[in-house]
Amino acid sequence: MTGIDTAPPLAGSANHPPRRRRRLPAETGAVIALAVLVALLGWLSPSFLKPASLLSVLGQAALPGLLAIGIVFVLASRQIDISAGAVFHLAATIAALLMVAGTNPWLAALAGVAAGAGLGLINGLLVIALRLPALLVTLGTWWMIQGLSLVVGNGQTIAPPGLDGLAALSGNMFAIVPVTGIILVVLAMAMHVVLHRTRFGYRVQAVGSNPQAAAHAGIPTGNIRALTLVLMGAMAGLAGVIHIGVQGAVAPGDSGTFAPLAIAAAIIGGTPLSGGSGSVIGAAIGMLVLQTILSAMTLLGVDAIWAAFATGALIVLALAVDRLIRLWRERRTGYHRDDPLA
Amino acid sequence: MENHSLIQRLIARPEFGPFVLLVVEIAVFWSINPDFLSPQNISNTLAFTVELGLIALAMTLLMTSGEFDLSVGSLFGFSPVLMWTLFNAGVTSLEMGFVVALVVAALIGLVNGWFVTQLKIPSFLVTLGMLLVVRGSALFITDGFPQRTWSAEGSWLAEALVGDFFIGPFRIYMSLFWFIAAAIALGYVLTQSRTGNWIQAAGGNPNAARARGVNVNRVKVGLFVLSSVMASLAGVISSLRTSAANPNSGTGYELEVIAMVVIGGTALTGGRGTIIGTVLGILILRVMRNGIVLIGVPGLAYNIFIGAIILGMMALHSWLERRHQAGT
Amino acid sequence: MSDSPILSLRNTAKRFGGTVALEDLNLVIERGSIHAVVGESGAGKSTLARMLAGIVRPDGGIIEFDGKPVTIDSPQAARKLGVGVVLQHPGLFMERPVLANLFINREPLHNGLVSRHEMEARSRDLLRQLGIAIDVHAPLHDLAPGERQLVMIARALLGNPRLLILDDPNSALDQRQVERLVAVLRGLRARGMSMLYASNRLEDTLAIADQLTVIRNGRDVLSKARQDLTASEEAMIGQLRQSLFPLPLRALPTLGGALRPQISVTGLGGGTLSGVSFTARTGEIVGLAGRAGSGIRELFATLFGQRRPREGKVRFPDGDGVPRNRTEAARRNICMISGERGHGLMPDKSIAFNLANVVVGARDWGSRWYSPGLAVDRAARQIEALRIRSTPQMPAGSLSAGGQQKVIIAKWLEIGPQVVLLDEPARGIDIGSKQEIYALIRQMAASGCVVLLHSNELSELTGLCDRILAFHQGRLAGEIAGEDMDIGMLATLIASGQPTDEGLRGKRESAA
Repeated sequence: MTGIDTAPPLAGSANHPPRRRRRLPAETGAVIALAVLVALLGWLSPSFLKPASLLSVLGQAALPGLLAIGIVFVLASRQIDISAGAVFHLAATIAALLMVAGTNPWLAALAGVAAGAGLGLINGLLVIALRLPALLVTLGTWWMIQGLSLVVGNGQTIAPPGLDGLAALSGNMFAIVPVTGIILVVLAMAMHVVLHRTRFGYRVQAVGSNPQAAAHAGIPTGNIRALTLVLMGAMAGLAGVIHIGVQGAVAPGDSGTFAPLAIAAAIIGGTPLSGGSGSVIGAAIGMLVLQTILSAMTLLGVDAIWAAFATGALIVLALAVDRLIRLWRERRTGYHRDDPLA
Repeated sequence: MENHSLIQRLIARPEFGPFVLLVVEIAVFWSINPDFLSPQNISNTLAFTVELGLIALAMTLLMTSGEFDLSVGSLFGFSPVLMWTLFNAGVTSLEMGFVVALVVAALIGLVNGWFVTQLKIPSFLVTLGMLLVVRGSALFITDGFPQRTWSAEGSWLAEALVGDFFIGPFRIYMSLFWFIAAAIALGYVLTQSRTGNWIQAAGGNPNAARARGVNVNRVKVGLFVLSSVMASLAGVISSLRTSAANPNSGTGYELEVIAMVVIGGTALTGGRGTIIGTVLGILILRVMRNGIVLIGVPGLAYNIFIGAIILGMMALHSWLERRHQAGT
Repeated sequence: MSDSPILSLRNTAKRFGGTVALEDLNLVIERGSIHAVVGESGAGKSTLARMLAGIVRPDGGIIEFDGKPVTIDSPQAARKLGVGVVLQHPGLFMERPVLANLFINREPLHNGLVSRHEMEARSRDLLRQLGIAIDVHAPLHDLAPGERQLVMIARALLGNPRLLILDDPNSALDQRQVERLVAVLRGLRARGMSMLYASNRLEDTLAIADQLTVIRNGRDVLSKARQDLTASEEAMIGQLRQSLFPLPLRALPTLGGALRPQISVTGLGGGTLSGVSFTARTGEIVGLAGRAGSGIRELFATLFGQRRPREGKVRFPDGDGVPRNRTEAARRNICMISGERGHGLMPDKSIAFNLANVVVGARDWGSRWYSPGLAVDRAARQIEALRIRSTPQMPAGSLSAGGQQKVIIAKWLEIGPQVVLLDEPARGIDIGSKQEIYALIRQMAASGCVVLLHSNELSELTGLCDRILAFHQGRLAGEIAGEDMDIGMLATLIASGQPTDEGLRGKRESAA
């Protein structure tokens, strides 16, 4: 029998130094998926590979892509904002109405973005004041904003005249690159830097990873959460304004599938639902993936009716794959994390 | 422990708040427009209320176990469309079509449940995706157009589900009785049966429930199936009553149903549920919708009110929870 | 009654990721006896209990129940064997009534519906025996922690187990409740029930055990019948070895005594606390001793800004009073480090990220930018200094418990807190890391922090602190320092509020 005095070899500690493993960047999955898709479609229909058509996919992905960029920050802080689509619509409606009333299109656009940010601010303040999770708050504000949209716009399509410079948004720069696409790329890169290289981005990730630990360290969790919602609102507002420029009008029901699409794109791009990290560039690529699939369907002659079905199926698949990958990863490191919605 | 008087115990119940809200609401609307409580208005309101109500009852149990189902609205529209398509194409009788629709709904519920329990994806998102899948399927089957629905007068199914008759000046549909039966049955299950305890345990502390041998996964899958089947049933009833089958019907119902459940006092995070509360919540929302139209507020503003009430009730619950915790 | 043991474990092993919880554990429980398992926190007692409850599965070894090899792979399997368990953190359904908690998934049915009548009848006797007088229809969160724990014990007993496993059942109970419980357990033993009683408090287990096994670092190091224990063995078991603790500091000069920054608490009251006054200076480690319900948790919560005091004043070294919330506390360099590492660590982020929590994340001065490169350098420096067995890029969750705690402490060392509140910091950590963490705590005190340390392992307090404040039911029961720091007296102080003999005499009588 072992005497009590001799200590057995340190049985409770990690017994092997961790192998140094380079972790694959979060965006890998999305990039691979995109490459595979483009190759597949190019094989099926070579006209797809023409620069013009590839770039048009980029252009179309821009609007929901902006929402996806915003939602990366929200997800990274372990929240969800389901009012994004409604904010998009209301901001567009407000901007359109202002233009109809004769305001300078650029000022109206600015007002639209500001409105979006303001709505995001309301979401944020409600989260702090009511001490409810963002999921629930945005459930309520989703209703209210949607209602407001209907009332303000009277359920009609609004087509403001005289868009001037804004109409340029529907056009191309350098002859083939859609302006919207450029906006997406520029913003994606800028926001990526914000998330990974600024103190604000650090705090967002900290709050999402473990809000208790963040609070214990002195990070103002409430403020951070509110700020991510403001950012989301601003992005939604910006998208709304661009929508007017591109389509020339804003109709009720224009934004139905945007929010879930944005979330799916973010997840495909490597932003986990459980928060703590995120990839903006990945979300943009993820949106490209989704948009490619949707565009491909029209190209291959699939009925537009399928759009809703396809979007839904894609979302579920994206979630499933994300979860499976995470489960696989967890089995290797051996620890679990709390799911915010579970 | 001191003996609380009956009044005190009534006030302490979570359903008391919604009850007061309902009474106040009715009083306000009636005072602005006495037509509000006319037999005709009540009958009309009730007719549709019970259809949504069936879904809300099932949703109560599901939310008590801690999950959501956002696909109920699209199932509401999809099932009657499926039934009528099969009937119109001569493939089956109306009754068989009904059965097929229910079975398909059950399968969808199974899929939802599987994704949530096996892949552990949040139900909110799975059912959101499923919403689009089902809606898309409905649109596909019909090419986007409403289906022909011959008047189903002769069919015994229609009589059993939505046969109507008059009690005094009130026009009552059979669906009201089905609703009452479902409410009583599910109420008993939730509060008086072992299954009800499983549901509340699964929502309150799933790990502890598993440790005690409760099969949390099976309970949840079962509730997803219940939710889908109820949505399907509600859609069929509505379609038979209004003699219409529109693939787009049911849009937005899921959130309204969730609102009904939450306003009634069931915790959004699960663990505690009340059927009585849900019934009150159903009435509160439907009365609100009916009332604001009657008094002349633009119906479009309904959403704003709903959103505000939802936020208000959730904040109230949350505040009460925290006060309770602090008092421990 | 047959002589074969009811339970026997051989070579049992269990790992969790990088941490070894149990290794080569052997245990034999004789039929109809109470077998105590003693060991400090982190030794493996809870893992053992959860294994026998069917919640975790062993990685190796043989379990024999009633002489036959069995696999307990689920809670249902454990129940079928006749094993009843009361865990350290039992699964509670807080909003449900007591009756529901007692009978969950075992409700007696009447025509398919749950029979409240029968539940009341069955539980009445048992609850009376345990000495709880409560309304069984009240929700669980209305009960005091001690009553809740007794309800959980009742729940296990209602299943009529043949082998009852209790993991630290006393932690929330007061003296009277403990005596009641001991009486009930003795009664059950007389009726043939076997019991496994796990605890880290020696005096509790000695009072009741027939057999004793000591666990250290996942192994059994001593297994004897209670009466065969020698006095020196008894003494050994009770204490952590003295060599764990770093040498005491040289006494700081008292010349600057009045000018040394200090925290002063005057007449603090709130929750269970009342009339608490003390001071603590930089350079010394002040220990806080007390059981559950003594108010120490509330004291820490108040100092950390999580609770508002009802009365009294606090003056921190920086001159201000009680912080209004956690964020303000942390920004004023008041830090809380607890044994529950969930509040200090971001397990999925890298060590470098974690170490930057305070210095980068939580301060408004300095750069608005975050440089991962600098973070990695910082982490490399700390990893070396604190002997953390990892690299800056590894996720913090992959570290052992000891490593994680070191990271949590290190991130505060970066900025130098003014007040450090330690709540069982070494809980669940292996011996080697414990030693290093104790050294870190000493270092913190020496470098100018005010250190308040709370622990339930009294030997930890006597080994590490310069003086110890004993709390009992919300009041300061006494202060001991220097050579007076005797574990026995400390234990009496916190159990009864009096340092006198009466308490001791009463205990000796009940132990007989």
